[in-house]
Amino acid sequence: MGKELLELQLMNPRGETEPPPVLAPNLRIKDIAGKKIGLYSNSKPGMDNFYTAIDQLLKKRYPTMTTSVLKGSFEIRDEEAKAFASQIDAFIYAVGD
Amino acid sequence: MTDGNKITVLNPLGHPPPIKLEPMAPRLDTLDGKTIYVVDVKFPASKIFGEELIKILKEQYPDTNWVYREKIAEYFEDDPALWVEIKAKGHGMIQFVGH
Amino acid sequence: MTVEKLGIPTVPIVTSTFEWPVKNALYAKGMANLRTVFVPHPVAYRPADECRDKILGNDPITGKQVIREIVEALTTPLTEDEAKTGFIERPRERLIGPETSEGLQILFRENGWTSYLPIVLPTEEKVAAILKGTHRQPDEKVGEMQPSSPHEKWSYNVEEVAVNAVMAGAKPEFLPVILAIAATGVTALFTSTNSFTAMVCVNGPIRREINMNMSIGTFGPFNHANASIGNAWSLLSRNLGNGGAPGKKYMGSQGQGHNYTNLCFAEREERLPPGWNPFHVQKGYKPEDSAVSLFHGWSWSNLGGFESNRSKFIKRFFTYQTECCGQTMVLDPLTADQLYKEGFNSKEQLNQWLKENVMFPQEEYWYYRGFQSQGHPQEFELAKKGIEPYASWLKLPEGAVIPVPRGVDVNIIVAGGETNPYWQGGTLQYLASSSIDEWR
Repeated sequence: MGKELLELQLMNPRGETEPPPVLAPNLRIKDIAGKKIGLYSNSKPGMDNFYTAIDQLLKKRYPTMTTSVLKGSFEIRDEEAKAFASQIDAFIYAVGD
Repeated sequence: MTDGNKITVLNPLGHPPPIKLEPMAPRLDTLDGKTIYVVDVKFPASKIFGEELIKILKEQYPDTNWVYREKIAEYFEDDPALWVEIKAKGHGMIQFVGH
Repeated sequence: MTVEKLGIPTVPIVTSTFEWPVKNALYAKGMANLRTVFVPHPVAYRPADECRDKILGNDPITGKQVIREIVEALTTPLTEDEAKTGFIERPRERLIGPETSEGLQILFRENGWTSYLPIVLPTEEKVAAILKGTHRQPDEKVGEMQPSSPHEKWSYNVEEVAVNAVMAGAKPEFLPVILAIAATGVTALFTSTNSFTAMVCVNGPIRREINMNMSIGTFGPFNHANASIGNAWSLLSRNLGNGGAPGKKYMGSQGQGHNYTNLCFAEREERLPPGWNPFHVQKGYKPEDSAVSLFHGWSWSNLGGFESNRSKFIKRFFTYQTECCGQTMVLDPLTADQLYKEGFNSKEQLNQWLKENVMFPQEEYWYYRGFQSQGHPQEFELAKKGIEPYASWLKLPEGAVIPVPRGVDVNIIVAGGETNPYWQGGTLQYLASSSIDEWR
């Protein structure tokens, strides 16, 4: 005797999520010479050494460039980002662990 | 949607072996004049219990010869030589386990 | 029982927590009526006056005075049941049902045949399908297993292992691994009052063939093969290995969450540092063999950090791991790389260094678990007599380390996803390895 195939309809176990907004990056700066570059550290161990190395390497290649380091929590807060952005020309955000 | 259909499945259990019934040894008519072994099976840190046990047995049954023995090695190991000794020289055995 | 069979009357004294395991074990060994006297639990590590009170007091199971019960056990004549001989057969039905799927899920769960999660019901079709994963015959004996001695061993065949593999959600290609585990006879659900962690490590080509995880999320919960093989081990330990009944055959006071799927993973052989052999090769297998290795023990920790002198940290960790039963660590490849850079050119070299450098914490050397008799009693006597170096060692403060190597062997395995130089380790003891290829 043939067996019937049973078809089932089930409930979706996944949660609801809104699609994230699509944001375009800002216009790029033409070059780094003479610019002020912001370095954001998320305070993970080793970030200081990492940024020291970046700072030295960039200054070697672009002697007129300056840097400004901001140390904060794992994710930069909106108000911190706004204040920081007003002081710099470009931004490096390194996510370490 | 509920499934009213009935199915047959296989038993997930293994095979327990048949049990051979072992008769117990005949009991003693009295402990007076008898040699009873008190055996520590060596579960960790049970010695103090054994020492108190044999003290009390000697206090309460002074006409019995109480013999204290420790089984060899770890508590899960056998000690055939001790069982042979008990068979040859003893009339009974109390065995205490720890935990 | 051995002494009873020699014709000498006996009476075992057991603590009350073990009433059911003892009675079950005696029933299985054919002397269900052996006159056991119970005392209040626990007895181990208790002071003399407390032990005395327990001996002079009452059996918590029968209510009778313990001393009187001991004497009666030795002197009261046997009853008819106590003198019986013969056999008790325990046949087993191959099929269960017919019943609805929901009814069978409830039946299996209420009988304690599952991990209390829904199972894949082992229909004949599903079992026949999974049996395609092995060339061995369904009625071929695989092995025997017990949750611990003195519980009886149950035997099982290929089909019965396949039933439990189906229940765990395994695919046919996972079956040889599960059969290899079953062939060892090692249980994942050890009886002990301590809630043992169990671990299974797979080596060889089969890891890739069945897509086992040895990278990010090695220990779970992210892989079908790892999860179902590990879960199958627990199910067959329960159902084929006469185990897993709380209070009867499983006494773990707090239970062990690991036992749902156990620590089931594959060694990431491709990322072993040069000169470091896969674990199964260390156990005598060829690199091209596929094998499974089993472990169990009391503790398992998740560790890591960014310190550069990794070997010292590992040494410090194992110094204070003094509980049962062995020492094992699973290193992320980044941690293994760090150790290789420190100069450990093989697992054996690292193990030897740990063997020579993992010492005794002061308290454990003298008073293991608070008992001087469990530590180093002879050295303690020498210390009291002022004999060096023991006398100086006795004066060391708590927390100090006695410079005597414990000689512990550490099982070393490499697996992980290299997101950071972490590692996991604890007091797991290596138990057995088994060929997977034999069961393909």
